Amino acid sequence: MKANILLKYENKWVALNSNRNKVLHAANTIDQLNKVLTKTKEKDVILHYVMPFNGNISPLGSQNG
Amino acid sequence: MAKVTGYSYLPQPFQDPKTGIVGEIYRPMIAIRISKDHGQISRYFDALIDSGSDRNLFPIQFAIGAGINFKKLKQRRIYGIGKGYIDAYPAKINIWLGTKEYQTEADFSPQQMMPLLGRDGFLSLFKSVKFDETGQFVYIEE
Repeated sequence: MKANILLKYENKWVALNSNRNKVLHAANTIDQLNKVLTKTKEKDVILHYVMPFNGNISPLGSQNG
Repeated sequence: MAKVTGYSYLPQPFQDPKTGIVGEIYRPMIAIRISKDHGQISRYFDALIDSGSDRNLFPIQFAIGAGINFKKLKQRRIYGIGKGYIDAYPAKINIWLGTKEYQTEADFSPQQMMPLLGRDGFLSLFKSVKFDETGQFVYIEE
């Protein structure tokens, strides 16, 4: 997989083909993406969230609220 | 005999804060699927293996897709860096790594975008999980 295939999809959900070399579909939310995939009947895909490019991921801790 | 599987880190675009140039960053992400009981198995989705997370944390849309009625679940509060927190709903699920199914738990939140695989509920399922930052591989030993 190459990062440059994701450049147009910052902060979006994308559906990658199984080889991870092509973005098949993109949407703002998982729900929207799933709707498209249900319509097109594509099953052999990997859903992938493209992080905002200018942010790092920070660790989370959890406890009961 | 122990089985060790290596997963290559996945690249994502990343903007260098000093230069502003968009390059790439490699993160320990793997494709998993989830299901609830004997229900339909989800599509594959990439999740970040996050040794800093206490538990698994997924976007709530995955719970709805798996048929989990989160409105019946008791909320849990998730704290991160800073003073903020998000609310999440813990649920028993199955995580699929390839064709192997693991019974575990995850928290689902409407405020979470990146699926996270944490220590209790993912890393705890395996004999060891090793991060090779130089080689950019994560090795999972079953």
